[in-house]
Amino acid sequence: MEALNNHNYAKPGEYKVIEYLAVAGAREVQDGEVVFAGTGLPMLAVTLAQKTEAPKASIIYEAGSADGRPVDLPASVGDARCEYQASVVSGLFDVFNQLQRGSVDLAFLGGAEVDKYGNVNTTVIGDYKNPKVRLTGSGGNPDINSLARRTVFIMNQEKRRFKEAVDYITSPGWRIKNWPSGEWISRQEAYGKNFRGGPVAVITNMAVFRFDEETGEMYLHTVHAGFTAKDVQDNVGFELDVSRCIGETTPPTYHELYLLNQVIDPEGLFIA
Amino acid sequence: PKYDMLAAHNLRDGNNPVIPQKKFDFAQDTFYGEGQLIHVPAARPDVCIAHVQQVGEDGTVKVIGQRYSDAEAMKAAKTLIVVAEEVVPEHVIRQDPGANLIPHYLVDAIVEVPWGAHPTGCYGFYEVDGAFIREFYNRTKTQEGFDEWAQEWIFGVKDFNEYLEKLGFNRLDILRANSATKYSNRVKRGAV
Repeated sequence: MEALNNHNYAKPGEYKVIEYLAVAGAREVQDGEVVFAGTGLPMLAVTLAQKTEAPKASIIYEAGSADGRPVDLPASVGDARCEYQASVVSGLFDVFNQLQRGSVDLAFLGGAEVDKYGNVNTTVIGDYKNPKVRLTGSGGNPDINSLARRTVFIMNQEKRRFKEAVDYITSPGWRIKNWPSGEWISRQEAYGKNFRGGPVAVITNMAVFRFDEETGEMYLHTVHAGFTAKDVQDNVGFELDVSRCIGETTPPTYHELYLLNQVIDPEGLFIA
Repeated sequence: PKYDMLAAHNLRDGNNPVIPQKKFDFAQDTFYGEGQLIHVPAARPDVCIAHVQQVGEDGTVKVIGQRYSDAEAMKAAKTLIVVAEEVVPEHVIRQDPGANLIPHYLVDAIVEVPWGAHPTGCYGFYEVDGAFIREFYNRTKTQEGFDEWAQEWIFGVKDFNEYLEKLGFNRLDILRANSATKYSNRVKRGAV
């Protein structure tokens, strides 16, 4: 019970990276929002948000559940647990229609590579026609990223993943190579009347990045405890603007750690 | 891998009615003037094999819970084979037609196979068998590994009943869904 009511910040060493990421993700959720979430960290993040600052947030999982209230953490977006006490269960066509009509405020996504404009690659490493590695492909990534009002990417911090230019743009960021001309244009130009927003944050195991509203370029916003801005720059393959860093990423509280480990994921599905 | 496998094999020549002549095409939005659209051709599968919870004797299909892309796949195929946990009297499944997904006349064949979705799950009936899938994944990384696995679980059993017997009562019982929560509360899922 002590941890449950302890709202002090935990110290480095008292929490795992995944818990830090879940907490950072949860803080992107505003109360009352409709959130499109995938398996794993996004589930932990949104569920934690619902149990803290955003009790009226609703979650859509892509297999077709709208605002489920699971008592046991789903192991995937198609898990029966997603459906428990849901407002509606339907299918992919229905929930992607809801995205299309603009009903989703926030979406959590992942990627293998990202560039400084937030373009994300989940398709191929190397040349498209002669790939070094063929990745899983788009899934719903570009659809969700194009149609939600805000997108948050959760990724691993590695130099080879944070690149000047990604090998393939699966999911569009703030400046996009127009097709077929190859000319770089802004997201606003590309989407025209259908522009709604775009990536607002990239959360990694080292830092939280955001994007300049004018130039669409990524900048360092906060650094996780135990890392410096230089550590982050050393793991980014392009020149990173670190001048706007406001300090340390807010660490988890003991209360949040209690919720994550004892209430949300006591079986250790994702927090092992 | 090729950019377009069908085009690379000269199969987009219009001679096959189920292969579109283009992978995608551009169009202009002439209704709302919102610019360029991309059209993607609909798939035209020959056969859909769907596993569902319940089907009536005449073929009326009921899917309980999330329906993924079931209806689209079932309606797209020329031939629809429905595998069900249970076949029930048609008049029973017609008591609540709003809960049904596919009318009987779209269905070509029904097969009653309890536990037929194993090792995946069937909402309200049983849980996904994660351990089985993990074992499949770990054992089938090489051709030899796959052959050995297939010999054990596909060719080594004479029919589906023998497959279920090989899994055993205890394993299946643990996967069985709780009738209130619709999933199993007894299966070990995580590291704890």
